[in-house]
Amino acid sequence: MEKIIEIRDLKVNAGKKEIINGLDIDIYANRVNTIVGPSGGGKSTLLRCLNRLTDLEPGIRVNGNVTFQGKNLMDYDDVELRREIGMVFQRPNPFPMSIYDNVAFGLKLQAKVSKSVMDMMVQNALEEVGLYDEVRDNLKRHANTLSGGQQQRLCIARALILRPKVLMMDEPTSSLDPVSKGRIEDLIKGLKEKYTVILVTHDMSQARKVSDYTNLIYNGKIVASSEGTEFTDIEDQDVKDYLGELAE
Amino acid sequence: MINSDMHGSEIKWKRHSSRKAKDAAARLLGYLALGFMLAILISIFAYIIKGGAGAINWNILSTYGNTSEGGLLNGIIGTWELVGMGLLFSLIPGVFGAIYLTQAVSNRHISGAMRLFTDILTSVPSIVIGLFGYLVLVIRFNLGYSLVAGGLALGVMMLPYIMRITEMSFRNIQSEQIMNAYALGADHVNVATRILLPQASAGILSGILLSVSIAAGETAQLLYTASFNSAGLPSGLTHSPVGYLTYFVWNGINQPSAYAHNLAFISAMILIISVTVLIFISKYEDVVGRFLRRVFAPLGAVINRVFIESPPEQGVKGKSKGEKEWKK
Ligand SMILES: Nc1ncnc2c1ncn2[C@@H]1O[C@H](COP(=O)(O)OP(=O)(O)OP(=O)(O)O)[C@@H](O)[C@H]1O
Ligand SMILES: [Mg+2]
Repeated sequence: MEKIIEIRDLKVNAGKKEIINGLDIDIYANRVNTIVGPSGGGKSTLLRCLNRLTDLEPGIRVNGNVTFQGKNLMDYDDVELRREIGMVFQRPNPFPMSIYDNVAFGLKLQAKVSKSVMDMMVQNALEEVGLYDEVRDNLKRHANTLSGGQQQRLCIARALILRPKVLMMDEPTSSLDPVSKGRIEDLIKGLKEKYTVILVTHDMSQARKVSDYTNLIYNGKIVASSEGTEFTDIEDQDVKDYLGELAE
Repeated sequence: MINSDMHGSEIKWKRHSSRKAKDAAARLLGYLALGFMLAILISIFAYIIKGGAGAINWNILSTYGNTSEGGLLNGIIGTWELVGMGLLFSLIPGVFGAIYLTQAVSNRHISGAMRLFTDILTSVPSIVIGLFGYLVLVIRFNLGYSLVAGGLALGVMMLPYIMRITEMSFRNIQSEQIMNAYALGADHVNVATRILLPQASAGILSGILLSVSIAAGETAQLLYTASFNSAGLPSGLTHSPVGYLTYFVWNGINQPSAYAHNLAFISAMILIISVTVLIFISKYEDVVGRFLRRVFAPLGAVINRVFIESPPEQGVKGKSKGEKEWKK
């Protein structure tokens, strides 16, 4: 398996508080790389380090060695990096504008394209998340009028239009109903053909469904990684207890 | 263990009736406070309008004058000229300040200092601002009694209101939405113009209205910076005094003549009515904001299309269709 991201000895501090302390993790290309772990364990923080949103938080200090496609993360231009590593947030958060403008947002900012190319790319992105047929009659509709599940797929399309190498998803289904959730899980399975997916979830059944490679983060460290979702040889009793709770 | 504790001791539940009595007492106090405020407000309005409405006539509203003769037109126009000038000096810095305070990367020490200074600024007595305006603007910078000096003195006072209310409406925007914009490659300017400002327009409007209604009622700093002009409107931006309504109130009531008293009452009436209207508009800002957006949004879209985006219609700058040219 090809590694697209290698994280070594990542440390993140907020003032005196250590959020992540010495974390190593490999992300494999064209796989669904899942991260599970207890609330407050540093999962979202880890994702924010990878597209350097942490640069925007003055109180946060990040140390360590992260390479993406063989190049140190800090050697990337931050905007270019965020184009290559896209992100979907926990709650659907469409911008208060039309469906079309939402999807076009990043591309408009980052590329010069003609109207016809833009139209085509917006359509492609919406098709990729299976939303196009549902909204094709009126792309000028305000995005807030979509259902929660549709809004989240819109947010995925908005990230995909930039053709990222990696798509990070932070608990993308935690605020959705079971049907919408199922649709997004199916979508994730399809995405790995073209993209590398990093998925944060609390939901072991979701991990079982979509994950190719699962990492367990506990107290700011990776305590176990495995192909599939079965963790063997865990010694720490707290971690065992946590896994037991998850399995219930 | 917990079980035995819970069942072993008798719990004395509070009686429902005592809570009801407390509720009733609280409600009574609330009504009393409301009644007291209403009584004061209504008596002010009644008193001013009784004094003003009886004496008002077209001549007074349409001619220039001072407190002993003529009308109020110089005061009516002068007040709005001064307030408009104040807005000119406070709106842009206020909104920019708010953007700075909201951006996550802002230096915490600088933004902390900005908040502190604006808080202090709101509590500096207007007579002190007036004195400062006189010594520094009128004398030192040699602006003379004028629109610019008066406008600056008002603007200093309006700035904190505009800035803090704008900041508050920025803070209502989901922070994940802002982060998501950055995650899609937005820079600070993009975030300000595409995420913050469009959603804060109603808030900015209410900041403007509140600061305008406060500024329109100011007297002290204008006495020192705009003086008064009974001959008519100021002839220029500097070195030309300006008339304003609060002067008619302040000076008119000190005069022995009934005519001066009438002018004072009419000025006061015009002021409280305009301020009340402004406050109402800012209260129902969502309705007004929707109206303004309906009027201005198409205009904005046109400006955007013509000046900002103007895409080449065919292909991409010499590249074949479907390829993109990433911006540097
Ligand atoms: N900017 C910050 N300043 C201070 N502490 C922070 C900051 N960001 C995160 N933290 C802290 O870091 C810890 C990890 O937060 P993080 O959001 O990464 O957890 P998480 O694993 O995503 O949790 P959840 O599963 O609940 O989303 C938490 O204790 C949180 O309070
Ligand atoms: Mg999280």
